[in-house]
Amino acid sequence: MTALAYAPFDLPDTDHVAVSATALTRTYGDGGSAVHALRGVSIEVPKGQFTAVMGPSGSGKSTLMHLLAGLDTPDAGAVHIAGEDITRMSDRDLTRLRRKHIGFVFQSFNLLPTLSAEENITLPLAIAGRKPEQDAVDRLLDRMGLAERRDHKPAQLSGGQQQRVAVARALICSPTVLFADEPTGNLDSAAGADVLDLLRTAVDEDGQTTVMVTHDARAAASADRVLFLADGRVVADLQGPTEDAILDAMREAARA
Amino acid sequence: MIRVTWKGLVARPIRTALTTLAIVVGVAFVCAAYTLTDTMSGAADTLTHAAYDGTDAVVVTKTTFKGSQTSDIRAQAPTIPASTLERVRGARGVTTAVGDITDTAQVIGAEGKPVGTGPYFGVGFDARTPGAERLTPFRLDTGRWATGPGEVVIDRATAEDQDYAVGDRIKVAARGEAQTFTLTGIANFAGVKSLGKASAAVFDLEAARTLFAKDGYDRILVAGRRADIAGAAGAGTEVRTAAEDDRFSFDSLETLVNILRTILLAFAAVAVLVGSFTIFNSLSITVAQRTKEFGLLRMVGATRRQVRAAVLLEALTVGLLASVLGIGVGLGLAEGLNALFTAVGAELPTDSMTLATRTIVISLAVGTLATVLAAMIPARRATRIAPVAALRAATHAATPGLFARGVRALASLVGRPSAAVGGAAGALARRNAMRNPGRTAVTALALTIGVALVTAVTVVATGLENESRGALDRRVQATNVVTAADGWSPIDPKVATAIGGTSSSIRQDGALVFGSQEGVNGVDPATIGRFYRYDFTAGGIAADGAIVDEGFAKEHQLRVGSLLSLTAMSGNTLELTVSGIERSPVLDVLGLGPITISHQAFDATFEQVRNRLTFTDHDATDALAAFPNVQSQTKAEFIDGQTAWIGMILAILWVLLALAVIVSLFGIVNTLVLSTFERMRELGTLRALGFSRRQVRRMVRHESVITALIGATLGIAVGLVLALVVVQLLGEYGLAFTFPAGSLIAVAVIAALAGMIAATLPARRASKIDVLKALAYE
Repeated sequence: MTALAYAPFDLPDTDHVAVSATALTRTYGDGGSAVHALRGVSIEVPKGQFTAVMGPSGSGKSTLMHLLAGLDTPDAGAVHIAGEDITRMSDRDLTRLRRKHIGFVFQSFNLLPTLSAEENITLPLAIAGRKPEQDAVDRLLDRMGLAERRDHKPAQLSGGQQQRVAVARALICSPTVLFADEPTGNLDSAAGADVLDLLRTAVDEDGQTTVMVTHDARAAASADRVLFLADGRVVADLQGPTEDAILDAMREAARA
Repeated sequence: MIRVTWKGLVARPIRTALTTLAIVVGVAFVCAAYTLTDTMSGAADTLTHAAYDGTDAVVVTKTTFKGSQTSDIRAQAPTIPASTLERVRGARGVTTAVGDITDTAQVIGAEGKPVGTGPYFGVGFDARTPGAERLTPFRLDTGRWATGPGEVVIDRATAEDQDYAVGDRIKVAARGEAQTFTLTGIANFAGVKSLGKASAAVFDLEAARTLFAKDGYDRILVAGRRADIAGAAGAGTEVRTAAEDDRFSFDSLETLVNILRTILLAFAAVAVLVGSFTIFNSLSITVAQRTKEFGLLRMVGATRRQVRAAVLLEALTVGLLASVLGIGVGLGLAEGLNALFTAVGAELPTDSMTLATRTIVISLAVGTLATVLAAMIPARRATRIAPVAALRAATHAATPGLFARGVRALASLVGRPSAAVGGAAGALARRNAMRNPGRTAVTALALTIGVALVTAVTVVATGLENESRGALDRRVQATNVVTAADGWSPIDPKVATAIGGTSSSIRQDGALVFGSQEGVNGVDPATIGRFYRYDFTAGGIAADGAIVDEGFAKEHQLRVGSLLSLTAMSGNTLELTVSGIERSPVLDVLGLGPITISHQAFDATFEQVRNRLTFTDHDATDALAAFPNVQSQTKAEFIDGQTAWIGMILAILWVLLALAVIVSLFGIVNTLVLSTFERMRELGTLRALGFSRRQVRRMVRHESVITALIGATLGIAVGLVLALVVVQLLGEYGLAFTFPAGSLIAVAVIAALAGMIAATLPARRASKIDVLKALAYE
């Protein structure tokens, strides 16, 4: 187990780092009711690493992911994705960035109900005005175990199947980084394990950089590294975690 | 429950505002229809009083019937002899009595054309008799009255329009050629400067008798006690009030006001109907969205009745609010329309707008009732929500009915272009339009009403126009037709002589036939056949017979050889045998009426010696230089001129369509805003996946256009079916179904544009959502 670790304030090494955060602070509201969600967080996510972010409610883990993904703007500090500072980007540039560099998997799947499984998967390509390569789509459907379900609407799919569609949708563009926000939160353990397997496989086989927010120790155990947040600070950074090590760290973090 | 209703309204300000606006337009038209026409009627009354109040009695030659002021065919009344005037002057109680002539005369402007569009009053006024001024509506503004031949007074608006000043030499066309007069004075009419595009030329009475070729006077105007007049005037005369006599045709002004009221109320009806659809739609969605809330109310003990009351109360509040706003907007609309009429020259002396109690009551009733009625079905749906609905997460959409499925298929079809040109945004828009076909249908239906109406009337009117033009083309064989500049006023017979060559004229008067007033045409049996073809079903033309049209013959069981008796206004009667029966056109475009007789018989019986139409075989424009109030048209120009009014009706209908489109826009905006709200998380997802703001806007816009096109397509379909039915019913008159492709494309384009406009606000709202909040939205 590693002690409290603060990442150095170096500029990110763009050859090896997919995402980096430098001294991020984010406060909601002001005056007496101000909530300090992040109080100076610096992290680096190397390319091809599967990072889990854990922490109790209100620890700032969701805020961190939103800032890393360019969905929110920090009060101070910077976020770099593929070497580019995204904190000063216009909405237009951020939109382009999302199309090319970012994939999302949400807790509540967020599939478009009017589109079939296959259409949902190729939606990011359609949005970017690109034609899907049918081979790539077929391979992805196979890998997700969705080949039989490609023409089904989300309402006709189980939760696990819906989340697998969502994972495929996030992978279709081979993004620089895939963000997963509690991807197993709405699933039973078997379906959750399937989804984690898929994420793990993408990391192992394609070197897909992945950042996953979760409060489930078992889910976090499939990551290469676990960052613990508490009160808006990184309180632990665990490499090659086991479920037990994670549970220990969680207890420690809760005491801190 | 009142608090629940109130909170519901306040919590959704945009929807409440849009729902309210949808009904405001209708109520505004109701209010404007009554207010504007009440004000105009009031003005017409004021004018009538000012014009006629100084005249206590009018003496005319007794006629067998009173010529109708409003019908197309105006019968010419006989004159009253000068000797009668002397007797009336001698009667006890008569203060002043003067002869009067009120005919038509056009003031000729600088370009050699008549000023204004009529009516063109040509008046003979006896200024030399003391006290005569109280018997005329004209009030001298500058100069003096005309007192001899070659002198004229004109109205102030005409003088100002043409920069004519006292002492100028101006041309006026009475009968025959235009003549030059010295302008001796300028007068106001009944205290107002102008009568819109009307003009007036006031001559000396005796000079007018010569000008208009009258044996006597048109009437005798009397100031004094009325009792003794009838006896003094003697047999064969009739004493009337000036208002009954109505020589300046204020009655026809009243008719115009009534037509205007009818048109505006028709607009109001369409707007209210379309508005009701919008309200029905909006409340249906509200009820569906508040399923949980209503379930909760039921769970804590609210009865079905209370739930219904909550919805109806919401409708009542919106309805009342909309009605009150509508009355305000209606007053503004009335002012605006009045300003518009003034701008186009149809000015009336209006004071301030007359908002009658009746108008307020009707406006409130229409707005409130329409809203509450539209709320009935949604209210009933709300009562069906079970208490357990409060516990269920989300309601599943009901299986769509047959109609909704049809609309979904239509959405899929008309959404195809969107999907093709709009990229991912267009494809998603098409799916969105298909996902809730019931809602899409009701939103689109508001537009359907207006489109159906315009489609049906366009088809029928185009059919009528084609048929009328075809009928004129077949019947009129002349190369040129000479008419008055306005197309229908009678023209002096000297014109026929002046144009030379061969020609043939139709003159027209009114007669009492089988107890009702009908138009009678006089033609020359020897020459008319060369220029105008009668479409005989039996018999033919004869010098001493009558031609009647088929419908008239059927109505009165006439056959060739039947006896026909005509009574002129003067009392002259004419007995004729029917010599021919002609096929009736579907529309009597020329306004000829059902009976045609020879000039010989006509001239011996009727007062009217002027022609309505003169057909000829050459362009008579040069020969008509001396007659500026007469025009020579080619056959094609003549046909265009005579059928132009059909285009006017269509123009009014397109305005009606525009109105219906505007009202249905509120419904589309409403639905789009709601959909945006419901699909908040989808929007957030799309944005997170790389959807740009522009793509979000495009998606909303395409959905709006698809909805509008569904409305237009349904409307065109319904309209074509309606038109087909009408055409079938009128088919025996030769009305044919025409497919107005150009108009239908125009309708579709207008609908699509309307959809784009409607999408502006919802699209902007949708594109500005906070992605984080949208993703967290449940």
